Amino acid sequence: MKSALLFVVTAGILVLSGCTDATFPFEQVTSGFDFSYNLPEAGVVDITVLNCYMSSIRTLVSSEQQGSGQHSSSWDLMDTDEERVENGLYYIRVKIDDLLLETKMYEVSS
Amino acid sequence: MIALMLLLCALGQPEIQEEEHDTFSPGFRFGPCFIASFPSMQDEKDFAGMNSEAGLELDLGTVAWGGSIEFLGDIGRKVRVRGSVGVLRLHGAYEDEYDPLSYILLGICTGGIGFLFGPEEEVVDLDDQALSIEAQAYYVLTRGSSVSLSIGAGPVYTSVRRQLDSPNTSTLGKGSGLGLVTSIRVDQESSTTLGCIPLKFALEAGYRFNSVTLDGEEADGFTLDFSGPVLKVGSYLGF
Repeated sequence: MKSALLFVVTAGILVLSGCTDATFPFEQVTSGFDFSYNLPEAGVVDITVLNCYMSSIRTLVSSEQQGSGQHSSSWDLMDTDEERVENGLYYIRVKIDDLLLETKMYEVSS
Repeated sequence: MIALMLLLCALGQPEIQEEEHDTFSPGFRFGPCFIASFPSMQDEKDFAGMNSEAGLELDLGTVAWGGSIEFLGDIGRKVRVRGSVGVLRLHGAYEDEYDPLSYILLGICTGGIGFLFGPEEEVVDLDDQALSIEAQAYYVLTRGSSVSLSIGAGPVYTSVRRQLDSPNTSTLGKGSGLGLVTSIRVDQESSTTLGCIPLKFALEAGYRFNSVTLDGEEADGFTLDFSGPVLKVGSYLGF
């Protein structure tokens, strides 16, 4: 009886641990990282980082004229006060000519 | 719920008309209430929208469920007061489905127990809670031996918490604030015996004005807006 119970529990843990494919719709980061974005046309670009309260905590690109095509930027996990942000969910918003181009989501942890 | 209240009123109406002038005696009652609320939660809706933009469909609930312990007292023929402590909870989540093969394997390996847990697991979990203390005064419109009908209003003090969990992180926001509740309620005046317990039932429908801003610089004015229609069903021990 004990061995059967042990088998069930062990099998459950083993299968559960492999059940999810961990393809979350966000990236998990622990340190600064680069990201890319694609501009369909030339325009004035703004890139901001928002926390889970939709509050802007850092501006990565401010009113910068950029051409169309692939571009990249980076975030060092610092806020505007140059302090490392708390663990949590963060969002990077890319705007072109004040119109939202895309929102990227990141889980920042230690 | 409204139809039920109207039905209760209609059933009690003949007795109300006949016995309106001789049925009052001071008393009080207390008991649990079940609450369903339809909060505005505009900031949470915007937050869910931002998640959608990022490709994560956060399934935010539209109904906040909860319960309360209420104390109701008659302090005059036409005046009734109520005090309560209650909790409301609104839930949102993004769930990831298990790989079907793994899920079946899990079910088999655990002798079927694994199937009890469903094929999803919560990846992002949003939990908004409001702990409220309400004090309300009512004007009794009609009172009979069966039911009474009253309207009232009063302040509500609410302490809220917002917890957002992801696989490796947990973010907690807190705040508190004052609001206002207005409602109409139907109270049973005669007791219904359940076993040996004499119970009095009540229905209440109202509107809650209760927007609470979270504390802290990082929250930056984010509000949990529990404002919206509220429905309550209560069962009381009457004395």
